[in-house]
Amino acid sequence: MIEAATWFAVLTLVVALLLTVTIAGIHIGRQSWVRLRQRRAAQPRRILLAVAAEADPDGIGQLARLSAAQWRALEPTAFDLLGKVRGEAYTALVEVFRRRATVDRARRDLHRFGAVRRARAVNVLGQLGDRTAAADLCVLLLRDPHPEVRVTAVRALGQVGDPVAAGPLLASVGTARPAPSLQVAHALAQLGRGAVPECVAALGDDDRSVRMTALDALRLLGEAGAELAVLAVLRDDWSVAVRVRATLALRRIGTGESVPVLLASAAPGRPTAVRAGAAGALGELRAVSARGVLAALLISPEYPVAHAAAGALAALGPPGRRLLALAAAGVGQAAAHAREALAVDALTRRRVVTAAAPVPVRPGR
Amino acid sequence: MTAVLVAEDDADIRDLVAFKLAQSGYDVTTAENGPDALSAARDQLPDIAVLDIAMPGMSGLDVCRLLRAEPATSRMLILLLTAKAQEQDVETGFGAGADDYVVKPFSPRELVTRLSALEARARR
Amino acid sequence: MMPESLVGALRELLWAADVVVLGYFLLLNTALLLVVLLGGLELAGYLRRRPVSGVDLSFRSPLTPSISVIMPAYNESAGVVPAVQALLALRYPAMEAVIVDDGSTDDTFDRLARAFDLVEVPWAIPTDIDLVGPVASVYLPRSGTQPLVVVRKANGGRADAVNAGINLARSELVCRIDADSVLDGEALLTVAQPFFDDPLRVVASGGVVRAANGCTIVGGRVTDVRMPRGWLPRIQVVEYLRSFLLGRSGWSRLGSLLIISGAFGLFRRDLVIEVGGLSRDTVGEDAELVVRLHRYLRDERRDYRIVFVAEPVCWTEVPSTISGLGRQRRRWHRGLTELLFTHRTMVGNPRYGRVGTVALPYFVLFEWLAPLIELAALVLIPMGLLIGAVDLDFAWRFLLAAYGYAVVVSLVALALEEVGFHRHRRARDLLAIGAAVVLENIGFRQLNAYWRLRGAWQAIRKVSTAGEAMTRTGLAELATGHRQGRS
Repeated sequence: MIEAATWFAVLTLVVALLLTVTIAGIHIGRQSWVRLRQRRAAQPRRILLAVAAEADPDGIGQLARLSAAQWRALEPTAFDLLGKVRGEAYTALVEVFRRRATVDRARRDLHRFGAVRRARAVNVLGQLGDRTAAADLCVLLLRDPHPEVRVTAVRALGQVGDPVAAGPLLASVGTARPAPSLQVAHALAQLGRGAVPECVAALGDDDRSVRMTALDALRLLGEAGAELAVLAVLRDDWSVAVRVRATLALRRIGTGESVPVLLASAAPGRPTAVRAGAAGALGELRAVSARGVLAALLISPEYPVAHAAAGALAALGPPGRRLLALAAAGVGQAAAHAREALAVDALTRRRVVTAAAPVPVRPGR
Repeated sequence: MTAVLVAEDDADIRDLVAFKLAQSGYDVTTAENGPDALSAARDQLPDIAVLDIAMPGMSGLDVCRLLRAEPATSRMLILLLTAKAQEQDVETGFGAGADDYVVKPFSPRELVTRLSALEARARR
Repeated sequence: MMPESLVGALRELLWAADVVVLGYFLLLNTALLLVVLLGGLELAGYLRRRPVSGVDLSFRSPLTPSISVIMPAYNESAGVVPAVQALLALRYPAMEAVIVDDGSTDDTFDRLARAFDLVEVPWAIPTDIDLVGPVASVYLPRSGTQPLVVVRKANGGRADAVNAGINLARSELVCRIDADSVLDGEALLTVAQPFFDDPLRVVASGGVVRAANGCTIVGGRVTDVRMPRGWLPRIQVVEYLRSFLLGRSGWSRLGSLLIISGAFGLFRRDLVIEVGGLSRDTVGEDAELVVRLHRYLRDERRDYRIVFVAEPVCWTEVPSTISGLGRQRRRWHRGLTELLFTHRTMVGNPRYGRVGTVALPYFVLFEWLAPLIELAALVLIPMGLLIGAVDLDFAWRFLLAAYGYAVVVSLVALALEEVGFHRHRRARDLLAIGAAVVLENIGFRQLNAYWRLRGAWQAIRKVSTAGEAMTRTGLAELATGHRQGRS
């Protein structure tokens, strides 16, 4: 027993000393390495910025001819910059990467061992917008065993922007190991109008996550042509979560056509979340004809429903606000909701919005 | 020469914008965070300020509002450069008094175009 | 003079006791080392994934889940306005700040009202979680441009204030931040990322808390990480590194993350309401909520995950005085005792998976019991020497094995941090940490053990004379101005 304790004590001391030396070594080593890298990258970085600023072919050529060590030092910066610019700057940077064979390397890495390496390769291809890799990425998306690779593939497919990915993206949400639906919806939105047919078709899918994703994508795309299909979902779908998503989508793509179905969905007896969602949508659509129904909803004992109804009435403008004022004069929760909605609306309307110049909502490449 | 203040905490974007603007004939100063941007704007009184929204210390929106509120800087041309692209964010940006709103990822060339358009409008 | 046999028996007994104590320390430090190494693995994985984590996308996506950041405030006059301003400047696309004034008796609210131009708004107050101190009034900024809600309510303690904030929150996710904590600019994005990646299963995620003492803070952001001057905060930096950064990562890897440090955890609002909000009966509310979530979700057989994000996201001022530290450690251990007692049916229970079979027993054996054994060692070893049950050799070998091993574990933690985040840039700071690693074992941990024991004793006393004593203690705490957030 005592012998063991001695050995242990000696071992402890030795290990402690080793660790101390290691830590010091790592620290000093890193400082010098970072300084070296910065020195190596200083001049090339200036060229890089010049290339991004004005896409000058000489600069691109210089960067293509950098030594391997210098490029290694510069590559992270170049990559970061890629994600921050678009237009001419973006194309110029992509050209630099192309000349340095980054794309070829990444495409090879797609099939390598090691999940992180694959994920990194996918990320690179996405950032570089390499369309030729789209098919490969779809395969990875659906079949790669590692979840991180699949998630990165979702993002990359969105960045690449090839609509051929729409089907596989939606399918990936419904598999046994599904891709995250929010990311897929965002990627679908980045694919643009080309993704709409698949999304509309997916509204009939068996898996509710797929239907929800399709609804989110249609909402982001603002695809007015899908309105009738979404209304059908709101009317007939068995899942509450899906129907709530449908009301969210209708806020964006709905028109007067949607009002009857929304009114029916807000009626008593329906699930609370659906009623609240429908009330909110009616407000967003400025459905003045619905004000009577909304006013009736104010007295609902279900908080989300009454709250949504009050907000919707406020959004209707003066006719809605008149009804709110009537309700606010009363007592009870309904009056409380009405008073709150009126007060918040008054505060919001004070914000002065000047005329806006056209702004790209979805930054295209 | 028109004086421009570029306030952005990301070093790469800051240097890129500074480079592009200098190359396009502007006189550029930079700031790395909200408070520095505010004091630089107050001291140097540039003609134009390009402000990132998400900066440490004080958001670009607050800097914008403060500059608009002070008589010395209220006529400064302000362009917001930001990754926030939703409709409410655009509303908020213009509501704070900005003259233009550019979303990241951005095009340096387009940025310069917008700046000259702002200047041209201001001269009229 | 005692009979020989009795002295002999005593000697045997003491020898056995000392061996048990030595064995306990070996076991404790080995378990800790394992957790730290697991934490290192988790850290490595996290760092490799970070370049492809897609945090930028979450910032730009309109689908990113909304967050309500709740800040309970009780007599925080000096720091509240800067804290709220820092909150509003956080980089997150869909956020609202809910500030709950828990019946402050100073000018906390007036300062807020002036700084943000608050105007009272009639509010239909939701009552999902029952409150002790009801909500009195709700305020919004007049200009309506900032996502801020300020709530005034009757005093009810910190947990009650947070529950009020949860009631009034309108987002999908909620988190709590104290007025004296500082969040990194990207903190919300980082901690919300698991929800974005796995929206159906992730119910809570936690971020690392580190000591803000000595760091340069500009406009509510830590811009330069430096070691504090005093040795007390320095030693706590080591502790936080070992337990919070690596310890939590290790537990997260095991899938049994128990304690999301109160200063920064992000939860799904609907689930927090389902389990009844924060408990008012304990001082360890945040840890208790997490355990209750584990229990509820496993009872309901729902597929869920509670995740720990290894990135340092939250900085908090640690106590720099002995009395302040003592109060904090007593409170923590009291909270742990109450938690383990409340959920005692989960300990060792395979129905609760690894939380029940691994994490909780570990906490009972190595966290809860540790101060007792530690202080026992301080008594038994000298006694053993006196009586001749053990000799000097054993004593110093024991010390080395017990404390030396602890130093090794801390050094491993430091090495992992240095490889991973290397937030301490100056060599001087590293030396200070190194010294603190050693000094921790000379006086600090013994004092800590004493405080923790007292904390456990307070909890046990409270439990045995429940009801009336509980209310008395609770009121006494409130009367002495139980400060939100500070020790």
